[in-house]
Amino acid sequence: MLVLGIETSCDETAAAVVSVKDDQSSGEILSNIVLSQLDDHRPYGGVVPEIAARSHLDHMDSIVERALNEANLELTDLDAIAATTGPGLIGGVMVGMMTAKALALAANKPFVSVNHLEGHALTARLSEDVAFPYLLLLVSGGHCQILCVRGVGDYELYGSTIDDAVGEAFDKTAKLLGLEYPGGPNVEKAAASGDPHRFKLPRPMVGRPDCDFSFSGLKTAVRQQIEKLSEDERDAQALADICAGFQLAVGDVFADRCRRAMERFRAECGDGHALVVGGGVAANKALRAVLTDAAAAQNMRFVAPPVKLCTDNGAMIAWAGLERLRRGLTSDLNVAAKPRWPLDSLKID
Amino acid sequence: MTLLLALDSACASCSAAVWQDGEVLAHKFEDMPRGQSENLMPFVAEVMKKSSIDFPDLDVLAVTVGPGAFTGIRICLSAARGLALATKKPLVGVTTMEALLVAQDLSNFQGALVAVVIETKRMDYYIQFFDHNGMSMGEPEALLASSIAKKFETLSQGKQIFLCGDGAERLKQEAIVADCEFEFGSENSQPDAGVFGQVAMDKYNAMGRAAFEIAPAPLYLRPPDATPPKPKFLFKAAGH
Ligand SMILES: Nc1ncnc2c1ncn2[C@@H]1O[C@H](COP(=O)(O)OP(=O)(O)O)[C@@H](O)[C@H]1O
Repeated sequence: MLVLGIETSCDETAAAVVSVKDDQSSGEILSNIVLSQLDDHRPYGGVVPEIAARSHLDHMDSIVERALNEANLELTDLDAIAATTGPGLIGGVMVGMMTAKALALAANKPFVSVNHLEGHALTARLSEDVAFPYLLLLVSGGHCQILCVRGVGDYELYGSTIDDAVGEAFDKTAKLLGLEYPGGPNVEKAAASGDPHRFKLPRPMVGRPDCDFSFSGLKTAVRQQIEKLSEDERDAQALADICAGFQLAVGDVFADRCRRAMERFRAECGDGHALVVGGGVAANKALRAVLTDAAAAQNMRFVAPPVKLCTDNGAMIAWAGLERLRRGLTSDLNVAAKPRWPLDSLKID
Repeated sequence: MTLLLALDSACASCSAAVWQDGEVLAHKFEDMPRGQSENLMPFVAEVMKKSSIDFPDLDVLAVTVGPGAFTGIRICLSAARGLALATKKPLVGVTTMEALLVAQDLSNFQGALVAVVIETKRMDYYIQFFDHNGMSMGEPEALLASSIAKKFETLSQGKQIFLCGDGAERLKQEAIVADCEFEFGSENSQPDAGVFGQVAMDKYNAMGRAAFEIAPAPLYLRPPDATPPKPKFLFKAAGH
C-alpha cells in the first residue's frame, strides 16, 4: 500500500510517500520532503498567515514532484492521496488540500482528508510497532494535550492546556529574551549551559487531580524575573539560567501531568501499553528524558518518534492517510478545510 | 481539435468548463462568495463526466490567476497546478481582467476607453484599461478612486468610458470626473470558465504548448499585510 501525504497547515510545505506491506503494521518512508519557511517569517517573529499561504502555493507542486521522484514512483502507482485539511492556518491548508484533491481526481485515486493532529497522534506507529491503546502527549506550537488513543479516529481527551500551548510558551519566552524565532530550539540550546535553580519559577497545575496544563503564568513569571535584572545583569549566563529554569519547570509540569494521565490510563486500559509523545516540542531532549523517567516509574514503555517526524512533515500525514485507507476511510472531494478541529471530535461512523 | 478544461474561483464565483476548440461541451457556474474549496473539484468532476472526457484526453488546462480574492486565487491555482502535475498537460493562466473583458460586447462602443474594475473589498480597486478593440493600455493595478479619476481624464480625452466588472458600480460613485459619459457592460461581472476558456484557447493556439510548460504564478497586486516588529534591547547574548 502506497500513500502520498501533503502537509501545509503551518510554515512547512511538505510532501511524502509512505508504504506498508500487507503483513506489517509499521510503515516505511520512501520520501519525505519538507520545505521550511522559517526564513520568510523570521523577521516578523512569528508565522504570518498570508506569507505562509503564498509560499505554499509557490512551492507545493514542485515539492510533490520531488517526493514522487525520490520515491521513484508515478502518481498511478499510488493507492491514495492524503492531505491535511485542518486544523491550522486556513489559507495554507487550502493550498495543500486543493492540490491533493486535484491529484486524486486527475489520477482517479481516493482522496483522504487527514486531521493534522491525527498525523502527530499516529506517527509513533509509522516509526515503531506500537499497538492501540496508548497514551499520547501531544505538544506542539499550537497544541498541548493528553489523549487516550484507542484506535484510528478514536481519541479521548484526558486533558489540555487552559491557555497557551507549550510550544507557544517556549516561543513567547524566547521572544521575551530576544531569541530568534522559533524559540523552542533556541531556548533548549541556551538552557544547556544554564543553572536551572538560579531563578525561581512556578510549576503551574502541578498537584491538581485533572490532566490539564497552563503555561501563561510561567511566561509571566519569566518576564518578572527578567524585569528584576539590571541591564548589566542581563548577560549570557542570566539568559542561559532563565532558559534552564524555564525548561526545568516545563519538565516538572510534564512529569506531574503525565503521571496523573498514566494512572488514569492504566486504570482504564490496564498495563503493558505505551506513553507516546508527538508534536514539535517532542524534539526537546531534556523533556524527552523527563518523559522517559516518568513512563518508567509507571512501568510504561516510552515511545518518541525521531525528531524529524515530530515536527510538521508529510510522512505523518501520508501515514495517517494510510491508516485510514486500510480501514476504508476515504473522503469526498467536497471536504471543507477546518481552522479548528479537535481530535476527540473525530468520529468514525 | 483541441480539448481544454478551464476553472476559476478567483473572485466571488466558482466555475468549470470543458471546451472543444471554440465550443463549450460542458459548463458549470455558480455565484459563490465562499465555499469554493469545497465545490471546485466536484464542478470539475461534473463537467468532465458530462462531456465524456477523461483527463488523459485533454490537451490543455486553463485557470484564472487573479487579481481577485487571495484565497480564491490560491484555491483555483493550486487545483490547476495539481491537475497539470497529474496530467502532465500545459496550463494557461488567464487574468481575471481578460476573463471579464471577453464576456463584453464592445461593438457599440467605438472609440470608448474601456476599464475592467474588480472589487477589492477595501478602499481601492483592481483596474486595467483597454481600448475599444480590447487591446490593453497597461498592466492591471490596484488604485484608489482619486488616481483612477485622473487616469480617466488623461486617457479618455472626453470620450465615452465603458466600465465592467463587479467594482464598476462603486467606482462610478467615487471617481468623479467632469464631462465624462459612463457606459456599463453587461451583467457578467464574474469570471466564468464557460466564457474565458476562449481566451486560453486563443493563447494556446497562438503560442503553442511549449509556452505553457511552466505553471503560471498568482497575480495578487498587493503585498501581504505584515510589518516586522521593532527590535528592542533585551539580552546582550540574544540573537546568537
Ligand atoms: N527543541 C525544542 N524544544 C522546545 N520546543 C521546541 C523544540 N523544537 C521545536 N519546538 C517547538 O515546537 C513548535 C513547533 O511544533 P510543530 O509540531 O512543528 O508545529 P505546529 O504546532 O505548527 O504543528 C514550536 O512552538 C517550537 O518552538
